Amino acid sequence: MFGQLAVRRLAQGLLVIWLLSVISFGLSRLNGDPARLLAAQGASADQVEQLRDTMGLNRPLIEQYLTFIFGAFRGDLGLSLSYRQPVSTLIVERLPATLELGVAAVALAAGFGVSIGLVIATTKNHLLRGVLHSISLIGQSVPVFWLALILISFVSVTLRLLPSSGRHGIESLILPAVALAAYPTAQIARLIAARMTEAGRLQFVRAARAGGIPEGQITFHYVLRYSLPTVITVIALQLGAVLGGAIITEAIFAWPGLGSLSVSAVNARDFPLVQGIVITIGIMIVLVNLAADLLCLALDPRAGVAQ
Amino acid sequence: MSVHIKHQNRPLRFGRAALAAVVLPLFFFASACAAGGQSVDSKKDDASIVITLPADIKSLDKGVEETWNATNVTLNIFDRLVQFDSELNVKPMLATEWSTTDDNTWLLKLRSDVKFHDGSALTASDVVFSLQRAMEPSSVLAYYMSNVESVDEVDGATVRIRTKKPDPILLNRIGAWVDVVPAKAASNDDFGTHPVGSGPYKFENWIQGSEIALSKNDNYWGAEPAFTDVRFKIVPEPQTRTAMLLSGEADVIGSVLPEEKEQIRSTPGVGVLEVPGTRKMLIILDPAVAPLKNAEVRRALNYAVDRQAIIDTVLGGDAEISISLVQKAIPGFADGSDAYSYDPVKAKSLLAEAGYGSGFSVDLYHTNGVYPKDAEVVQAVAAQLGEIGVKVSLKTIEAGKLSEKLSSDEIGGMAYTRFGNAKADPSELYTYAVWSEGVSSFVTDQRLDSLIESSEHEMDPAARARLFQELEKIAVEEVVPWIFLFDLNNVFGLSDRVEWAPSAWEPIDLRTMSQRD
Repeated sequence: MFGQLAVRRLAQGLLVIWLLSVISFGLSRLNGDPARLLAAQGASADQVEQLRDTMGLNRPLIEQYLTFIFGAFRGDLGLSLSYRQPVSTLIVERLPATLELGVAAVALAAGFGVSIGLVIATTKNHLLRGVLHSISLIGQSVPVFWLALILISFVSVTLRLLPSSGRHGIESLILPAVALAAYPTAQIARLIAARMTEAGRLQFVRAARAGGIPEGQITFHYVLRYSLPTVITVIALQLGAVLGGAIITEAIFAWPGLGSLSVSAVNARDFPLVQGIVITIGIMIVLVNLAADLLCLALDPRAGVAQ
Repeated sequence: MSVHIKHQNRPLRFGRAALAAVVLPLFFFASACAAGGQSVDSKKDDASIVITLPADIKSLDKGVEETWNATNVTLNIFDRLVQFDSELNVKPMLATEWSTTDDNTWLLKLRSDVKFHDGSALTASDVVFSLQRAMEPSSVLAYYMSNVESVDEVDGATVRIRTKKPDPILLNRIGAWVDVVPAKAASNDDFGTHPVGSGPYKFENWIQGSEIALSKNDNYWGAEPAFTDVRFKIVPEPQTRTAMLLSGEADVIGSVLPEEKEQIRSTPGVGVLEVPGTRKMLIILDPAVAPLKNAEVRRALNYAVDRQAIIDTVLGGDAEISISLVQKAIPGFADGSDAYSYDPVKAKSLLAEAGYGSGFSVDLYHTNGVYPKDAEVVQAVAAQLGEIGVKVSLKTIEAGKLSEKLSSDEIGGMAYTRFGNAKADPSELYTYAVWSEGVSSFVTDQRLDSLIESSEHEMDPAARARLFQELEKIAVEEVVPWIFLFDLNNVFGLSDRVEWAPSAWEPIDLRTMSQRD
């Protein structure tokens, strides 16, 4: 059952990635001419045409697509038009930064989110619950760019505690990770609180309680466990989102990841680079979701039956 | 495969849960941090300097990327044959003197005391290689070399350039953009990421997407470089750049927004530096669109715009009115501000004379966030044109789409855009936006065409200046398919420890920057 699910999910993932390749190939070509943007302000139509020729953009579209897709299977994503370096090299250079930020943010979110949710669901203290509820509501509603700028102006400029930008080890990771984690933290906290409150009313929990099992054990072994698959799914979705979409956070903190690379790729109409980034992010999201599905199945075998 | 759920009978109370709530996140965070990446020494010693750049650099090879942004770095790694002085006149650099044997043949004598960073001495063959390399069709510099017929070596210290047609500004083109590279090192495939030049600073290290480090070239032939280490950091967000200046993480930041200036001015230890620039902002009118066909209408639009009000209120004073197709900072600028002062009454009567007394509607295409306050500027223009009955619909489009529109045959209305001046010569905009064959030209005027074509090949500077005066007069007063606006200033934030008098030519030249004692 485990293996079956994995195979089915992988097949679905491949289909998704193929569709992505078609869409990113098509969409990026709808949007203007990279040669014109690369050439000097006054370059003549002839010179631009020659540049376009040297970049292989005058070949038939279907030929360009086939070159791209067969190359991609061999791990060759082509040559970036604006950087004139292999796309795979550029992505490999930026991927660690994106993974580092994404994993740090989601780890923070998972840790704080689960903890806050746990406290909201279990505390008898109304005030504490109210405060935590409000905090998570704020976390979910504050736009990331605003939070990021506030963090920079307070922590970096006023207190001079942490660097405002760049990627120089742990101290420069903290601010962007916190900014990026705010939304998923709040979402996870609210979700787990709701799920646990709901679980507390279910029959098996009431039975456990009636059987005299200590409340702490009920919380961790019955209620939390029951809620975990949902949380894992949400964490996986969030990880996918931050891996693919930390563009604003990366820009504000000058974080040299895939997000900032994709902005310059799109601005330069660098088709091969845009395609390469979309495919890479697609693969990561498919893999993260696959891992989450398998983890959920391990925690709750019913998930497999339901398929 | 089945999964067993293990039951542990360790009792847990809420106290433990609370403890876990605190410890868990810390654990997660610590492990996330431990996964962290490379670390760069971010300490600053006294002779180092940190400069921010607004966009990612793709290559330090000018033949691959020729933007102003990348030139901030390459200008300091490489030398060129000639350079611009603070008034933007051509001055010797690697070429000490030059002469023309006939209108199409240039002889340039090279300095003999120049060594590249790899220790090799500069020879004429390196210069020939550098220029020929820029002539390749795959080079984005090919445009600057398009009038060059051939380049060859006369002797070890003299280079000959033959042009196809007489070219009075050959040195402006080459001086502006073509870096002199060592033939051997530049033949490597990774030259764009590991450049070797002869400039005051050597390339050290590049963290892609993040920063480029240079170090002092102790053997520089010119004045001794002022800094031992230079780091260029890529910081796209303006507010982050300001924060870096305020917190001491950066010494020089560019593209400071008007609203950031006050905060910088009021902070001790840092200041704002504003200098005239070469970025001309104007609105191009498509004369194929009905009301804009009429020269009186176009003139009316120029009288209807209160440029100073826009500069003062929207741009925080960071621009200068410039009614000309030449930037104010460029030698040869002819001030046409008498031609179009702000005069809405006159504008209205001109419109009425042209038969548009009740106004008309027109689209204005513009970008948002590409040029300083672009969306705000066009809103102000639209409001002012509304005063004389012209209903402007603002259409925000993406920068690439705008440049495509401007290099096509039609705009379908008006477009707010910027013209630079890489060659620091009046011809830049004439050949680009006025000459009927120019890439971004919406003008077909035979008088202008013949003047432009003669000025391109007129070797006598005085005669050429007269041609430009005539060109300017006809273009500004009679043809006007533009709403003239202003030249943007270059606005920098600067640490007090840096002394700098930048020229209007935009890239940051560290040769003109020093440390205050």
